[in-house]
Amino acid sequence: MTKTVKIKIADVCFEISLNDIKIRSLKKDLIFWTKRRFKDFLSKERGGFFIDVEEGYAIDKWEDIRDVKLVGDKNNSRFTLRLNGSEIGFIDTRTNKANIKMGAWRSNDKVFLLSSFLEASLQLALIQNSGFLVHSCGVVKEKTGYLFLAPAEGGKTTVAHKSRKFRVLSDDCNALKREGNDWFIYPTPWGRLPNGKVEKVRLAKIFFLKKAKYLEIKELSFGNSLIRFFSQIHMSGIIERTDLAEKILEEIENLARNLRFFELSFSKKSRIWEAIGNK
Amino acid sequence: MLTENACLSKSKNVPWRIIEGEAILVNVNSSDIVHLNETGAEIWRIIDGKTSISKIIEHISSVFEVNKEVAKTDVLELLEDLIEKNILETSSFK
Repeated sequence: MTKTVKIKIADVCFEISLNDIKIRSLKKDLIFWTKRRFKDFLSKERGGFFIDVEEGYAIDKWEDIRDVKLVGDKNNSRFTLRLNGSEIGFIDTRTNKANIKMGAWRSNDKVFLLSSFLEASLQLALIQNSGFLVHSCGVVKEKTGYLFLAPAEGGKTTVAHKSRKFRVLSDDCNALKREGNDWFIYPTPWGRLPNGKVEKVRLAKIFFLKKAKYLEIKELSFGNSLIRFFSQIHMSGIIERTDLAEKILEEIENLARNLRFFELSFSKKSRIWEAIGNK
Repeated sequence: MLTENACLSKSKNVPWRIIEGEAILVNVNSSDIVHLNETGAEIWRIIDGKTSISKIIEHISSVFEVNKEVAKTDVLELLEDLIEKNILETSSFK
């Protein structure tokens, strides 16, 4: 029986080991749902980041697993995952090893928790490799990448609908990585991935979305772009570490120096791609 | 209450950048991001733990060609805000 699931997102290879789950039916169930959840990102490559999944978190009352928090330690490379004050896992950014203890939750909840844990692990792995995850909708038009940033309910999915004739990457969360002074977008399993393609694409322009009754595109200043960009990076528990905050700042600075940032005000009826074409 | 002979230092827990005249400060303690305009960025730039607030006021008055009272109000308002956010620390009094 397969004991590991290998996943590759934004060129980061994860090896998720379920060896420590003793109950065979649980292991089988979790492997099935994990493979289904990440079907477009399954890989045969050996992992560079290792996640051990265990049983063993005792529950004495009903808990909402959405209350799980990642807590950074200012003094070392370890982040702990906490649920109502109890440690249920850790991520070590020095060794690229992580561990998560599952409770007797439903399969859906286990996969949800594993997915959130994987997202946090990926963010930490990316930050150390000139990248980060960002709340965004990614679109590829004529081999060029466009990134649309907004918080939840900020219009990312609307932009994805308006971009159906192009290749839409994730409509909620994309990874950005720098190679020299070039930036690339990678889709992620978070958000909808309409066509299942996971290849990277060179990023050309970044738009901050603003819901409005009119259509307007205006270029933003450096400071304005940087502060808005920073607030759309997945940061839970991470910003508490000065070294990582410094690293993110360094990379966003490179991004702002090499790309143009715009504010796109639009309504549901706006023909955004006609306006973008002129920029 | 700040006095003009006080000297201030930047907190070590605040990564920052000044580019194209504007400053971005990341307050690790509170997970906040602070954006300073051109005047704020210039005030931030010259804070070094040794320069007194009165020198900063003189500098801002000279660089931005505003009278000293206006500069004093702007400088003190910003510094008090940054101290409250633990981005600046009072380092000494001359």
